[in-house]
Amino acid sequence: MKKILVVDDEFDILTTWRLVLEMEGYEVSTASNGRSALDFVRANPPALVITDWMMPHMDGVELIRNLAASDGLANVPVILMSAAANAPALEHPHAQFRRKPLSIDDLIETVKGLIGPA
Amino acid sequence: MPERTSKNENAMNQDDNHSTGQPRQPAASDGNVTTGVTGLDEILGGGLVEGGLYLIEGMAGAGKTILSSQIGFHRVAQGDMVLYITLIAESHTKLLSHLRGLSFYNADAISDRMLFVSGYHELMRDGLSGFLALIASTIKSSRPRFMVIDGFRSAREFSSTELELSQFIHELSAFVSAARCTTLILAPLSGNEPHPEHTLVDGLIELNRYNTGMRRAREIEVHKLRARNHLLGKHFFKITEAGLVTFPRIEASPANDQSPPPDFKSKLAFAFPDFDQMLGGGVVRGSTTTLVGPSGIGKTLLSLKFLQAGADRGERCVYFGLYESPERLLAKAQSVGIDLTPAVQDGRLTIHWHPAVELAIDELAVELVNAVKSAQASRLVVDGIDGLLQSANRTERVGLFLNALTHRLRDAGVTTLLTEELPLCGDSTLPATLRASAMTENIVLMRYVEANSALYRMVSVVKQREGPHDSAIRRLTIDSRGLHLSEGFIGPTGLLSGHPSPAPALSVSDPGARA
Repeated sequence: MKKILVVDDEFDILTTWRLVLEMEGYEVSTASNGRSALDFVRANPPALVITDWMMPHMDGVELIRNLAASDGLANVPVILMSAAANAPALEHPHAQFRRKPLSIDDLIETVKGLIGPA
Repeated sequence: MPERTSKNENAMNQDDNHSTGQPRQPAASDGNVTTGVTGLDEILGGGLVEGGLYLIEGMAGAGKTILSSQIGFHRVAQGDMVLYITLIAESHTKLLSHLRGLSFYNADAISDRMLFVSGYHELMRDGLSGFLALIASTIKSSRPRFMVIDGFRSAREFSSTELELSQFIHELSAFVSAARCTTLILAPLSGNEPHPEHTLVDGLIELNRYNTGMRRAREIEVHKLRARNHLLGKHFFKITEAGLVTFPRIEASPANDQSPPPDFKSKLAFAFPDFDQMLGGGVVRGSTTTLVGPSGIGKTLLSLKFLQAGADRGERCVYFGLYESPERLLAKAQSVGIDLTPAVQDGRLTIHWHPAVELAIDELAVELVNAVKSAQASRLVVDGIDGLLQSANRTERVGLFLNALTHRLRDAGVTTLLTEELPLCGDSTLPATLRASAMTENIVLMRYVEANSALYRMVSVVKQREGPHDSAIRRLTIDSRGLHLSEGFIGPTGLLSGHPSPAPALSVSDPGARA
């Protein structure tokens, strides 16, 4: 079963994406900021990270930079999701930016496109 | 921090100048944080205090989120970093998509100058102390100068004791003060319940609605504001595509008498010789005159005559009416030989028309004074002042409102004519306190008189505070050539009441009413 880590400071988004992705058969973990996400990923590398941008402690862009700089984690694809109008520059070989709000179908399609079905 | 100009500032301050008064200086000299919300800084006595902690209370839909994000975007435009922290509230994505339609929204600022984070996890996991630690670390890393905490209800619900909540507010207040980060806390209306946070915050602002019948009007009230001489009481506001627009009650603002010393000799005439003679040459410059009379008697035409006389002399004139559209008004004037079209075309006469629906008198007062100021008008007609006053939500304020309004108009250097409706027959039904005529310097009474199976229009000057006038009752006729006055009524008395009766005979040696 492929593992996905969802990172967002808004609990309703964590709940929604967890439910959606679990229904597709993925194993989903959640984290509420970049710092705890990074700790988690180092211990349990997932197949995909889906992260928000603006979060306390460590934002999504910094999380992505840290992932790219970590041995063995730079190849984990990352989706950065934000309501911000402008996409930030991402220093990561497999990161992409998606604008919120994202529909369930869009999310599943993007996830399957990156890591295939569960 | 110096106020910095940015590309968005013009858009956000576009109607900042609507206030009818002069901007008030903050009482204290500490850092003043402007809100950029039209009228609100005047209500606040200048703005918020830098590093202050403010509670904004209001029921759902009151406008708390729009108000706080509007101030947030204004602070971004002033060069500040802004932090928006939510608890259990609207999601950031929804919030931003709702704000997108408002003119102050600046997409470029999001994530760059304006951060949105949720404090929910910390609050749930570690309670209020965890939430405070989150705020502290975010302030330390992002250095915001303005912060909004939306959804404070969750923090209230989360605190197990009032003491815990007090402690949190107290610590938060100390922290944001040290960080010089001005902070707004958004919370539901607590009614009359005393909440511990009320005593601990630097300011308490309530957004509410006032109900009259089926009508609702939005109102803002500053209950408490430390270090600022704020305007007490409730003030009307509306939410437009530019965000909140507040209207400080004009009668609550201190009167700043800027009017030049009165010159009772300088008079403005109607270019209607017989009527001007009744007024002793015209109305005193800067005065307010009420034309009272029933429907159809000629109040509007007489007031248009006043404007025409001004326009003919090259003066700037403003007509402000509630009942007749500009086209109808011009056509009506034309039919009695008053041609105002050229004056309208070249800008000597400006016509403002507000159909009498649910009007907000505070908004109209601002528009009226601004219309006069922007036209630099010397003559103003407000046609149907009673219609305007009847749309006041609270009729008890009408007297003071009208006094304040005429004061502002005098400050603006304009000579004003108001028209006020009287019932067609019988006695006036409006209480005296609601009557504009009671508050103005001059009153011209117009009535119908029934005599010999016909109706006659009569005119008399019943009050002219600043000069002699003709106390005779004259007959007014209106035809396609214009308005005419004739000698009037010989004999009966009681004409002013509308119930004439035979007069007592005057002595042959009596010089008569016009002496």
